[in-house]
Amino acid sequence: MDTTPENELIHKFLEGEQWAFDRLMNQHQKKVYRIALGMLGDHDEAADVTQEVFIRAFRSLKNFKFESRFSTWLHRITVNYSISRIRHRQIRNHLSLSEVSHRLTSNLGRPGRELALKDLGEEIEQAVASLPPKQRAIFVMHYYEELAHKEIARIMGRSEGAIKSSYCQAVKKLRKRLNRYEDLR
Amino acid sequence: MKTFADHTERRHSRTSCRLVQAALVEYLEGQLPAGERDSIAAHLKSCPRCAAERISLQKTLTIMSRREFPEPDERFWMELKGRVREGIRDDRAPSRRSSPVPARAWAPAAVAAAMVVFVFLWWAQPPLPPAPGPRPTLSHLELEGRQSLKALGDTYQDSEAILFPDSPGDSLVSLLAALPRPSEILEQALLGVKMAEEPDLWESVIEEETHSERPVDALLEELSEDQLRKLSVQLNRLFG
Repeated sequence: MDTTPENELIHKFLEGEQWAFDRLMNQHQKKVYRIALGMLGDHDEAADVTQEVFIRAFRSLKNFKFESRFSTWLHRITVNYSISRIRHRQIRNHLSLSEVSHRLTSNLGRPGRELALKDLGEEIEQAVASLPPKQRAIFVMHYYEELAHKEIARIMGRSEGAIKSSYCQAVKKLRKRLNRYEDLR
Repeated sequence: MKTFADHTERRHSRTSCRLVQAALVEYLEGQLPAGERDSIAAHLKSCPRCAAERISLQKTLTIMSRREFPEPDERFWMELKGRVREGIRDDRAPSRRSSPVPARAWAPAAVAAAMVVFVFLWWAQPPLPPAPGPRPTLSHLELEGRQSLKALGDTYQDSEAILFPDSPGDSLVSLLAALPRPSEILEQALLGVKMAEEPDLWESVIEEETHSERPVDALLEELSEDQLRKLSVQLNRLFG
């Protein structure tokens, strides 16, 4: 594992070559951003998380043990930091979120495909936001980022079976929340 | 564990439907081995209920594909790189602390953190005796948290301590210590309430802490909306 081009870049960086970190960042920044965006649903927050993840990576790379892939390590930082942001936000916005949810539910009776499509975008975001943070991370990484369950298991420090099970639960929770849109074309 | 392929019942018993439905998401994603996939396909042809479940889950996955992920332009990535470089530079400057938490935010947070520890102790009255063995206990963690509070500013502000705790016991203490905002104070006090309500659960979390890097996460996952709401009210009374 130590001879991959990526690990060579890390060694270069550890030897003091700043360009090597830039290269690592170029290779991974989009994925880090998309995972954060998928979990947080907000561009500004995702941008903050991406920035912070690479600052932390820069600081901590000296502790990298080459036991996992760099991307696994980086995505773990991304997921942990995003989860931390979600928790802070959940508590801070707890009551207002309930109000939003209530408002959306109270719109159920409104007719019209256009209105329903407009609502759908919001409702998808709400549905994703309603998943517990770790389950949300698992869903986003597998469904949107197409990471294998095995890789997600490495990132999350859990078994592959637990990841699969959590993913299935996430899909079923989303279905429960979105079933009224099932016939929307 | 029994899979659907192992299950030889021909009739659509509850068990066979349950096994099919448990595997449907993987089936839809084409991730099952051929044998299991064929068995499920055969079942779906003759079981309207499971077939309807398959269609419903498929529709959910299709709906989720409509979620929009706008791709930032090149300018965004250039600016991001600039901000990261700036963050790294600031980080190296001796005048700046390594924490992402602004220093001015720390002083009130430290006071509030002390209040939280006080609340912890108040809730845990009478204090628990020290642990007889090496296993960390609530009182041990409280003591550690209280002793650490004075040194927290420098020791634990670095959020790496939370992400990559040096020792399992550190994660709880460092989390308690690194309270930069009122929302986090709320979170910690929430732990206190949970702990007072369900000491067994808390003990099990502490036990888990000896084997896991992120035990506090596990506890927080279990909190219900109701508990959050109750606690918000309680804390507004305490800190509001």
